[in-house]
Amino acid sequence: MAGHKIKLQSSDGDTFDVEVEIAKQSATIKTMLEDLGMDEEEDVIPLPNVNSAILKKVIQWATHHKDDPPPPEDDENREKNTNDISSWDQDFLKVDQGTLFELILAANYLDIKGLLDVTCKTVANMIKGKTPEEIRRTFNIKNDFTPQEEEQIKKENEWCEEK
Amino acid sequence: MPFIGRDWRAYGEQWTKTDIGSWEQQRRLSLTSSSISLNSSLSDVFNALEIVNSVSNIRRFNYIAKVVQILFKEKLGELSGNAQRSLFQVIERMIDMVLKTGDNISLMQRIVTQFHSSIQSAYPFYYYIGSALLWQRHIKMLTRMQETIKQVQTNMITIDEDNSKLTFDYLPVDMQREVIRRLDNGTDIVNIGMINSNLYRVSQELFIWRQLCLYHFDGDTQNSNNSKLGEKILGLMRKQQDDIDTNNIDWKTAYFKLKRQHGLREVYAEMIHQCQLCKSLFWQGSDHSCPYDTLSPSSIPITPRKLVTMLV
Repeated sequence: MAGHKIKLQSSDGDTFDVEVEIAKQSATIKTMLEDLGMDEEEDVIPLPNVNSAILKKVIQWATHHKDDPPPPEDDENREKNTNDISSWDQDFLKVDQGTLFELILAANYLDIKGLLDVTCKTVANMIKGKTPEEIRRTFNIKNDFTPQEEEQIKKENEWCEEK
Repeated sequence: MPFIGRDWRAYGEQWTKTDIGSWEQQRRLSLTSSSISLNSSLSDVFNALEIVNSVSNIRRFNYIAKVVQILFKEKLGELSGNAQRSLFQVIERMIDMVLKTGDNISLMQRIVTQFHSSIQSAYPFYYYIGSALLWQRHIKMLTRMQETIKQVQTNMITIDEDNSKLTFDYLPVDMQREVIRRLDNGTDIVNIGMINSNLYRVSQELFIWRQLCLYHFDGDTQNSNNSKLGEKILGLMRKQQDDIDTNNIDWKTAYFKLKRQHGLREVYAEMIHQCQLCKSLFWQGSDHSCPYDTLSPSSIPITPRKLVTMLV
């Protein structure tokens, strides 16, 4: 099986040759291959939700992680350990926020658990320890509360922090 | 005549390449429980464990931050000149890291501010090792650090106003939830809920708080698939309040109540371990070549607090 390749097509029409074993880290592609019996070399798998810049990144990630052992089932303790990101992944995710969020979407669509995990952790680390105003500035998010609503939420949460 | 030196058939010595391209021999640190404080000073241990360089490793950052916090909160009077210098080196490097990545800014600010005030409150420094002049200088340095961090905080990463790019609040709710459930501190979740109405709704979801409670207060029992509620957590909650309707628990309230009483769980991505055979300290992720490698090696994790008690 090694070396057997399939073609993935991005939303903007580029095709990428990828080894089956690497592509199968995506549960979405895996099901496609198994359920539809698409194993002929000529077949192209269209991925209308992923553009080629992102698909390239995803393939790069999957190639690096192809020999990883399968992650333990739903291990929540690891999930919250947001600093647990390997140094390769840290370097890989030194990208602008737009790309980071696109990667999250792609990882979700392609159903690649490991990639979704590290990208979400990276975003979580950007949130940790910041005040609401700082988070807003970090992500360039507008405040859509009325002053009254804001006051109310503040009051609602006031007791949380009292010692 | 007995053979004293190393067997000539033994493995060669291990040399590792450093960042600057030179080679160095692996440093080994042996701490037997009785002779710790005699043999290795804090600065030696910091050097051997490469604490300063490890700061730039996100997996080790929090562990080191905790060690630093314990040191200046409780052990300041016992630090030698060298140890003080190591401590400042580490803090400086942490600030560099924070400035570079933008993460952990408030943690760093808290550290520097607390350190600053704990020195200042000890004026005129009778209990500290070193001259009053030295400690004045420390205070000055911390003031400077505080200002640096504050400056970064005020002109923090204002993202380019390019609206074509995807931003966090345009992610589908499922993805936002994926991010939020990775936060291990309720305060962060509350804060993200105060950003806008969308995120407020996600941050109020019972599921997220329930998971957080199980994570922090249910001990090590692995019932993450949520089929049944941990007995331990129910026990803790019953202690606080007699009648609990298990089908209708306000998990957010429960979290903050339990937190106040029991504190949060401390988790580090990577910890310092101690080999049970040779008593060496090493980072969990690094290779430890135990001299007694015929026996199966085993090591135990050392919490930051334990490390500090071993050293000072």
